[in-house]
Amino acid sequence: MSGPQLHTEALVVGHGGRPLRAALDLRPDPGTVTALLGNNGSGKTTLLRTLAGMLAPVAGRVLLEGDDLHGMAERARARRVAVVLAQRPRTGLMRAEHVVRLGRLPWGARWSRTEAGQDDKVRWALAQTRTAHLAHRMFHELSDGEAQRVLIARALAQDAPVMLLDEPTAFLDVSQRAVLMRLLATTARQQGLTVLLATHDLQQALDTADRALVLGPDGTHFHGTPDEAVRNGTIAAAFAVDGLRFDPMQRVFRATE
Amino acid sequence: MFARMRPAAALVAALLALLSLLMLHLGTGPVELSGRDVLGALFAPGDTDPAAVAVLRGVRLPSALSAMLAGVALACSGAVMQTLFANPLAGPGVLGVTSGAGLGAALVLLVPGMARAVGVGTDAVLVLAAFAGALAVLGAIVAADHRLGDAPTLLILGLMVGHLSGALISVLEAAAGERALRGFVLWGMGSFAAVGMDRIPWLGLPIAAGLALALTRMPALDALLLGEDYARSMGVGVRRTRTRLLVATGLMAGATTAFCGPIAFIGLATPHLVRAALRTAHHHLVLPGSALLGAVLALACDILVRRIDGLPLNAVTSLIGAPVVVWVLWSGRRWARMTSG
Repeated sequence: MSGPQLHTEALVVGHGGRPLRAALDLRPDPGTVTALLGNNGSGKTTLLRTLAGMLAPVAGRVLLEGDDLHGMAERARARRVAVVLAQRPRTGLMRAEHVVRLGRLPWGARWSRTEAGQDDKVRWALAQTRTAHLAHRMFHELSDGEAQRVLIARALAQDAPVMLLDEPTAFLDVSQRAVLMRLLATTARQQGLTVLLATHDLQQALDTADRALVLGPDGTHFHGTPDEAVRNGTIAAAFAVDGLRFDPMQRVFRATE
Repeated sequence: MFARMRPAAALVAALLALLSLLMLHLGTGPVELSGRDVLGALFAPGDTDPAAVAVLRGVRLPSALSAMLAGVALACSGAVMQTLFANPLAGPGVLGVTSGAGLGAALVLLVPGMARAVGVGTDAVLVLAAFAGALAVLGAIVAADHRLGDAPTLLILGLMVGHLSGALISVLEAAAGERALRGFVLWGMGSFAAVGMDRIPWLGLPIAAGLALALTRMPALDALLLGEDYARSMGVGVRRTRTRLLVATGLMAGATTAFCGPIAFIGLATPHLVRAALRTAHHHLVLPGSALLGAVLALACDILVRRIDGLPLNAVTSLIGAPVVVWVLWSGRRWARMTSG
């Protein structure tokens, strides 16, 4: 157990042995939020699923503190990587607090939910995500923004140094998006977490993320600060469409005359 | 019923219902026994009418026990299947385990000379064949899971196995003689009365083993409520867990079907009632709750079968079970429809 929290070595992602992109060498810093940007089909979700251990890499390795992620037992991996998926799960009749409590699963006995100290972690995760007041509500009755925060609380309760999120703001309104992104940035910094999130929300990501990983349409990628990505034309190139022009000052795409 | 019940209150209510139904069940039959007779035959056989003791110990008690065991097994299999396949319509029969048992039974009952060829009593061969049929289907499903690996495909495969077994049974039925056919139709109606006291352990052991397998995987079942991807991300070995739970339900539903015939709806309806009453999908409450309520419902259905001469058990469980499912879906709004989704 040594080395960076998350680190990829010549990682090639893809489905069924077919590579989707060129090899990636990533080493995101602890305490930062990295936004994964790119068009549909650029491989954001494929990369995220590979980093989460849900998909085997075509080549290369994903290392967690020096250990090969894809060679790990499920429980060992779950103690180091927590995941928030794009789709809101249908949990059935479950209170928000119990959804969060499920995050303690990799730390408890396989056959029982009892585990010393778990209540503290759950309470802390609820407080951190400002969802303590929702603890006793039924999960399916929560708004999308509330549900997303509860799911992030569940990921925090999992106590893993790496957190991966797929489109965490996709179903949220503008104010909820800002709240969520700020929550992720603060938590990453305070807890020293390595947070990676795939998103379509370009402006929000460029404003709040510490790093941008831009997956270009030609198989190349850029990894750096959002400002660099804007200034050196990476963003404009990655999302280039006829009839649209990227405005680096406003960080939005505009229709050309 | 649809006000939320506290788990402790629900437990007391269910235990009281179980005890009173058990007394009623033991007293019901061609020879009505009073509560005093029942208790006497159970706890003080020396001081009780020997005829009552013989009826109670020889006939009533084994059928009450097999009803309760079957209720536990079917309801728990149903609860596990509904979570495993994220499908509120899943039940013990959904993977074709019941149809496999049916095919096994049909081979013994409908093919002339088949039972005699094995050389044991027909009813023992019947149970063995039905159980073997259930396990064969289970084995095929587990193998398919390792090859295909996703739950919805498995569900379709189970349905196909069910149809295939049904078709094979029809072929056997068409070729069978009238007497053999009658025996098979009777098996298909379901009955808790066919298991003698000496066979109760053989029914109980596979059910206990299956139940133990399921009860030791409750945290994983809870995680699966969030979907397989989330469960995996929280450290659940999804395929391993699924194999284990398939074996658990196969043991429970297979043994029950082998001894009592295919029994409809207890497995499907009971978990819905438990979730509705307790307002939770948590398996720490749903599994024990289903076990208890399954036993209660099976006893209640069997009492009706005994009261009304000639009524098939399967008709009673369906008459009670189907409206219950409709009622649960109808009266509860969002939560009921989302119980397992």
